[in-house]
Amino acid sequence: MTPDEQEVLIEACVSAYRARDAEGQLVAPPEWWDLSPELLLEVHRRQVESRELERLIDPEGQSATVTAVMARIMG
Amino acid sequence: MTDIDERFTAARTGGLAEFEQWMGRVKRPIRISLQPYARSVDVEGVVQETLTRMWILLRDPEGRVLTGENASLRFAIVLARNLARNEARRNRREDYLPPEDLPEVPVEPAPAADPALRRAIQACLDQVPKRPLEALRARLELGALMGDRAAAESVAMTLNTFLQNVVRARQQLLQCLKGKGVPAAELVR
Repeated sequence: MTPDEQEVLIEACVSAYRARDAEGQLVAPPEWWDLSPELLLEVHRRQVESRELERLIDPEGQSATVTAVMARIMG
Repeated sequence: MTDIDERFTAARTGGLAEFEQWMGRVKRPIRISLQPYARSVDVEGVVQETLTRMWILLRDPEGRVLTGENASLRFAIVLARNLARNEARRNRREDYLPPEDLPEVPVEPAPAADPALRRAIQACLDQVPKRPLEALRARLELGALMGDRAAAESVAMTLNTFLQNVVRARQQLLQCLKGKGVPAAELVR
């Protein structure tokens, strides 16, 4: 895997969007399964960083995680 | 009663707006507490499931009453870790789980957004080149609800190019912030 390919896989996992399976459970992005345990720690670090950036950019001060959960709650 | 407790109580008697505020304060400590589980589960999914279940708990008239300082946050962290363990077993990733007796993490709520930092970010966004900025904004506007593929289509990019542009935008944003004396470590501390 080239560094660019690795970056793309990590970034795909950083997103807050999660599809649901037939039982309504959230599923990890397909790219998540292609990353080594060490790179999954990097995904976590970037998620923390990204959610904070989103919170600071968003006029309402909310991150993509809150947006996704609100949408789920409201159906 | 802490600020977190006040918001949680307000959400019990109020509604979604109060719960949204509560989530804004607790999601980061919940996510950080799941760092030891990041090699075995999709932490983003666990955080979202935890917050959704906290809403269900909150709206249950017979749901348990949480007591003690930052009780709702402490409860949510325990719930999140249990969900993570179950998810790891479901996915056959137990080998990467941390020990069961993992010490409790300090439960400090997320600080309120610093207005100076917010201004610095806005100034740095203005310096991000056009296509990476379009990708970043599309993800912010559509990504959480519709996914990256839809966000990429909205700015006429392939998914791969879109993700590369998001990476580029974030790197440039962080580089600019560093130039203003705000290292990336400040955002993840």
